[in-house]
Amino acid sequence: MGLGEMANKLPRQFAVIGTGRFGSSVAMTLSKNGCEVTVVDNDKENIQKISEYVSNAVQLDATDEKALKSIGIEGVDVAIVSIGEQMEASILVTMSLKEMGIKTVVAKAVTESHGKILARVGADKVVFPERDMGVRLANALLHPSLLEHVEVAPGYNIAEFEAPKVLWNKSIAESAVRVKHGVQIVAIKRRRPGLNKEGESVLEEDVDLIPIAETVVNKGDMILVIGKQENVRKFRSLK
Amino acid sequence: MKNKATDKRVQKLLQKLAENPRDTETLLALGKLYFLGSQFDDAVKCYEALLEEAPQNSSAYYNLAVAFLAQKKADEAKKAFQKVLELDPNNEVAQKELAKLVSFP
Repeated sequence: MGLGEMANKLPRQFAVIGTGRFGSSVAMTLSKNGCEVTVVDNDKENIQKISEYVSNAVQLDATDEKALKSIGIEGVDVAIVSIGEQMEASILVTMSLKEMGIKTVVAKAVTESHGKILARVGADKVVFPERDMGVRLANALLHPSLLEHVEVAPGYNIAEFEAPKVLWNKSIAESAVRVKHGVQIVAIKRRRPGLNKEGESVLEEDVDLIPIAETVVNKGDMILVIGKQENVRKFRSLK
Repeated sequence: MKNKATDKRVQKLLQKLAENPRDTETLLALGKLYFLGSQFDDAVKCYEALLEEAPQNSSAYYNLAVAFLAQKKADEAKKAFQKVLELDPNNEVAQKELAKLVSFP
């Protein structure tokens, strides 16, 4: 199952095993988005730190299957195993979570071979945060104006960048973006100057999702564009 | 400026400034009005003039940093936020903005 399919089925109950930087970020982001998150870690201090951000934080040894069952972990929709550095433990935990019948287990791997083993023992999705971050960093260095660079399907990209000058003060229809450039603008982000309650300057972000053809693009707008890789690249390099 | 009321306020502040060009409060207020009207170059000039008079004014550095952000001058914004934190290390908003600026992407 791909991550996209998981998102469509809207899982609401999660377990995160391991509270390193990766596990904590996953747990806190899920929690912020209204999900019920149970976090498990062996380290008392780490558990204390994260407890205020998640629904349930439990200190236990995740390799102990009985201990995991005692907190009702079988009931979650998705479990994330983020103890990649302890390879043996991550494999063991992934295996027992699958044996318990958890539908989706996502496991963090640190090496390719670790990833292969995790897949063999039943992980539904294996992530390589360091490798993936490396790719993102390289892309960001190669394309400094490009804030996001995601391949949505083979040969197709979605990218965010500053609107090229040819679009300024014209509607999307006037610029004939789709016909002339073979790409689709799916969102426009603009930042409005304002003052906060302390009277200090702030930039408030407005997002126009799926803008209509009459929407006018202004200087400084950020646009989210989808299209064939080559078209997106050409469009981005327009002046 | 986008509306007459704001325009009047700007004129009033400019008049005040003509009488006393080193009035830091007026410079800050004028900078903010320019910022609100998306006249970021003018806002930056006001904050820079203010900082010549009051180099320890962390609020001026903060507003200057946000004006630089609006101009998409990330390096300048970063330096200004760093300056805010030198003067006011517990400024949480500046801490957050600086962290956003240095994180990829």
